[in-house]
Amino acid sequence: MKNKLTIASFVLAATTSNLAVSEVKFMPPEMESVDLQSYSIGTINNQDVPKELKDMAKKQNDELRKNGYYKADYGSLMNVDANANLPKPPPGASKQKYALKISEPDLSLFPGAKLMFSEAMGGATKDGWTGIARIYNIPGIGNIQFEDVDYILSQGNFSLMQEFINTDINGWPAAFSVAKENEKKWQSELYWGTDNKAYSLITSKKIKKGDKMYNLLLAFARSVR
Amino acid sequence: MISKSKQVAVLVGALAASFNPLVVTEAEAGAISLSWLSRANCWVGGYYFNESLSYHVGTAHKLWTYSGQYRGGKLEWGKNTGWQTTWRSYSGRQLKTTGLTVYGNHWEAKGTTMHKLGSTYAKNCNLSQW
Repeated sequence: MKNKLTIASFVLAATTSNLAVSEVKFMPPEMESVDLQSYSIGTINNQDVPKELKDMAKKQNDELRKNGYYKADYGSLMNVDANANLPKPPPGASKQKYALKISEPDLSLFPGAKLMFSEAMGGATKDGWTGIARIYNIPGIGNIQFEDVDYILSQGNFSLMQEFINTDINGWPAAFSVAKENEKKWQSELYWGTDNKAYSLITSKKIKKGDKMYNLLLAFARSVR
Repeated sequence: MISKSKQVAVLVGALAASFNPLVVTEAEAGAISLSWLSRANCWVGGYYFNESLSYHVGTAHKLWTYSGQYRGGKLEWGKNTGWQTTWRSYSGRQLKTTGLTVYGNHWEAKGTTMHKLGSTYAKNCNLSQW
């Protein structure tokens, strides 16, 4: 119970800050069963990583709050628009085996939406891959990459830095961030987790909080089941 | 523009069914997102490869990988990569002998999250069949 309240307090603190754009309407029932050995929200300072990595995270967070984006390292941003047009495997190519229960967005909410590309991701286990990455083209926002990983099946964990939390997805704490490598290379990302899944929505566009594309991104995330 | 390396990775994965297990396996996933795996006793070019790796073709991440390699239940070799900024974090070795079991641990750090991606395990090199 204490842990559950701790998570709730992070959400509420985030959503009442000047970065907040939404209100927490309810706590998802799933949160009752969160295994906090696997799901954690913590501060940057409390992470068991070298100072260099903590400094990197703090710098990104400071820049994000000051400028609305942080400066990304060279080569660390994806090109989702290019990935959407990668060659598809030929018919008859062997199908991937997936260990996870694949989550689905409600595409009926986005008329004209279509799946552009799909690929296994995550960890390789004897039962198949623990994650899947899909790129959808959504009218009004363009190509978005949706990453769906079962971190329990992966035998990994989910963590979210408290300093980055600025919204929620169906009650689960979430971080929306924007990164810039140069004037032509941007990446906007929404990251959140549930009791067994880690989700990312990534675009190669510069999205501002509160604008139309941002709202579409949140609507897409909130439609995932 | 689609990067040449990604085109090559995807095409090789799709077309080269069992040409080279090391290449095919990495092309099955990891072209547009982060993947991680271990494999053991992969016979390629006269050697048995034993390795744990995390990779995302063409995109750098901050990664740490550990590979522990066991023979007869006893740890024969283990190595941490430490934190690296790379598209491919690799801990492994090639041997003239087979019969190993490989356990891998994989971590990632970025601003929003610092976490264990997962653990992997392999006694053979059958990944290309997935």
